[in-house]
Amino acid sequence: MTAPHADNLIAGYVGQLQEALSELPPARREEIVAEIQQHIAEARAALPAETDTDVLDILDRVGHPADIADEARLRLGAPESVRRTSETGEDAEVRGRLFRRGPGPLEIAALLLVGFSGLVYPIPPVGWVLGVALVWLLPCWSPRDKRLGAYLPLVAALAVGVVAALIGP
Amino acid sequence: MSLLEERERYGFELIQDLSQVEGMVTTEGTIYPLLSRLRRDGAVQTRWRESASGPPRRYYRLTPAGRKALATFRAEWARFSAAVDQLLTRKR
Repeated sequence: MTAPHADNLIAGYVGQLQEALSELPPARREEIVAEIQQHIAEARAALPAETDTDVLDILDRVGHPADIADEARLRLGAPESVRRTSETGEDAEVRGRLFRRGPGPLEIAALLLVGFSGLVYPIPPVGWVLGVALVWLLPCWSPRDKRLGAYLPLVAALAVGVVAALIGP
Repeated sequence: MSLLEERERYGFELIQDLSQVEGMVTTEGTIYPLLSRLRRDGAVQTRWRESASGPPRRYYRLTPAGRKALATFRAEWARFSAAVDQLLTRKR
């Protein structure tokens, strides 16, 4: 029943597979190798009679160890902790891109609201609050810019008010 | 994952069923890293069961989290596939 060189062929294949998977954490490597060995055994058991070519066919279907290793690197490559950091790294990258982005329509709206809301009477509080909220929410400005943006117009408006009160009608 | 939804399967069985659906699985061994990943992510659970014909087999089955992921993927796939269909069959 057993093909003459089955054991050698399979042992050679498993050796290559182990080597190809050597970067994986040992537990994962052993799990995958054991599952594939079991797979080969099941495939052999399903044959009515087996020749060396049958065994070679089975190994071909299982696939080249390098392909399995590529898949394993893709799925399991980096340990969990490393994967997490790299994900946060990606987030930082996205945030970085937002920072580098030039002013868009929202940023301009925010500036107009903060800067000029004082000029239009019914809008001042609403417009200023909206503008400051926008400045705070948009990633375009640094925290220092944001504080400045919020307070400066207020100080300016107060100054104008004080001057106006002093001069009087 | 869809195959694991109906019942638990072991690796060899899963690949045979897959190859019946897809016609051919070119590199059967690549399924095992995928299963290992699904297990690490908590999408599948495994347990050993005795087999009548040989050594015990590791059976894979979907966890509730795996079912949820599958449902999400199904919905996304339906949207994606509808969009592609629309694109490919659009009258010029």
